[in-house]
Amino acid sequence: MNRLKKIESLFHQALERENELRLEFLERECGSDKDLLKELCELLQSDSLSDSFMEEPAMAAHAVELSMISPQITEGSVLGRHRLLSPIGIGGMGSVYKACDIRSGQIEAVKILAPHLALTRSAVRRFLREAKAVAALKHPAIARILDFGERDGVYYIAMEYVEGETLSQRIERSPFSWQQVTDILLQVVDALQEAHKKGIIHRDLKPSNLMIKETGEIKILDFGLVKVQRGFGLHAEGFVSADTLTLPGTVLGTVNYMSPEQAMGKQIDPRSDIFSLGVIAYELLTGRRPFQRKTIGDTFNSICHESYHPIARFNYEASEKFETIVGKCLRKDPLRRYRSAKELGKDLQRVCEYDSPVRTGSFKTKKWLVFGAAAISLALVVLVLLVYWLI
Amino acid sequence: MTKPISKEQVTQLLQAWNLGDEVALNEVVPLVYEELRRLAHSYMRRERPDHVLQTTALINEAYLRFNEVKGLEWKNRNQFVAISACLMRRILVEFARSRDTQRRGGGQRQFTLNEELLADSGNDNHDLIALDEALTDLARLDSRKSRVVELRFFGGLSVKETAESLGISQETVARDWRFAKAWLRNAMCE
Repeated sequence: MNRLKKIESLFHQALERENELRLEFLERECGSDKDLLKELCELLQSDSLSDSFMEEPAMAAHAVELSMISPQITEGSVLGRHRLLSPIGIGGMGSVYKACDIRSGQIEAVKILAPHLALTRSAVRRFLREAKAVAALKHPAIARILDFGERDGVYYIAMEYVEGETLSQRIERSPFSWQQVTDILLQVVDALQEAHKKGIIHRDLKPSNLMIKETGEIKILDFGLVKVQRGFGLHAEGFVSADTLTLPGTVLGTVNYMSPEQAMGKQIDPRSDIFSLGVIAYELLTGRRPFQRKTIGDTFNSICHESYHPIARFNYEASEKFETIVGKCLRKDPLRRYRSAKELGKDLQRVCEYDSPVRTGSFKTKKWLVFGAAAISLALVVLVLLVYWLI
Repeated sequence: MTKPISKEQVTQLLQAWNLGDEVALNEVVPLVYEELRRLAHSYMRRERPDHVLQTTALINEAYLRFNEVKGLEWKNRNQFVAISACLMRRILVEFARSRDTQRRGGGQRQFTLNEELLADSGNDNHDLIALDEALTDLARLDSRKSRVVELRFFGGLSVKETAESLGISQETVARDWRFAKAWLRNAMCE
């Protein structure tokens, strides 16, 4: 009998016995062969684990991933005027290919709606709405939409191809200096101003959606969850509604960068993006995510109710410059945050100009200094004139 | 994104399953592979992926198409199912490999999912690859057990169907399955 047969036989014999009698049985059977005993104990241990290992057929377990790929779409396929070159990645709504515009030869990124999503009308509407909304945005820090449409039931968006790496990739290599962070934030804030002005909230700002080129230029990607704000201010559609998060095959966007109002499924406005940007700033400066916990539920709770460790704890130098600004982005109550990207931009500018955000207190001091200096000068002039007059 | 199956792979596959008449099957297997891939996708278009997918139904459909539409002869349905399960293994593992490469930054990561869930699905992909490797090891020690796993896990067959396909008793299938699961899990942890 070969070794595996022996192991198998003992494995089944042990299983026939009561739990507490198994070890004794195996010790007797294995005798001096300690390796055999060890292996059998490990096998029985594995057997006793009641989790989902191989419970479902492989196909069912991996259906969602498989479904993200369109069967008729492969490298070389042509969609409208776009020829697909190679797959780049898979996003919440489908796959993305590096492609080439047949007419101009321009390299682009083509996003293809996952085939099972293309069947639901709401997914198609969302996909086209996203394309239309972003196509209306023209800003150097926003990846441009070049074309969108449908071919034989396949929905696609052609976008500007961005050479570079995402901030989440970049931060793994080395931390950013506070000057770099300021530069990144200023670019994003400027782009957000433009988007918010058009009633478009990004809703999914995170380091993996921000590309950084070698030149330091930033491009915001993937307005995947964008919904156009209807009317003015707070009349946006609810975000964490069932249709966004339980969209078949769609994976819920990361919760780490969500604002409290987003996490609670309330209506959101541009200040939600400000909160997300605050989380990003915090991470770029400290290398940590302020509200990340072990489970999604705990993270939600932390976003909504818990305070975070001050930046000073991890990066003293940056703290002086950013603690106040990040703090104002991360307020739980949107009414207490920066009212707009513009307002946040102004404070960030001050970081550059004065080398530290100017607080109201120091502003007053400066005014008094100027006033004092002027008064003293005036007094001196008067004194000199008086002396002259007396002589 | 999966590559077409090569002749050598087909031969290996048929040898592994001790299937004769290689010449005829060499021609057919790549077609079955494409058909399964196509069906797998169209199944997902029809059914929401959160529903349990019936791999057996899929293989059945492929079988019917090959017998009726393409007029190809099979020794029996079991032969077809055995090959299909093996091909499903290849399709799924190759897919997991390409996802795994992507996740490790093999390509430019534009438009990624969020990291947590990407990491999760990354683990799944990794598990599938590790499982495939462990299963190859098991096949060397005990080929019947690896076939039971292939049919059950990759082919989606029930204990009864697996028993019929391999011409062994259901009890043997159940015992093989239980032992193989424990063995594979240990092998994957090493």
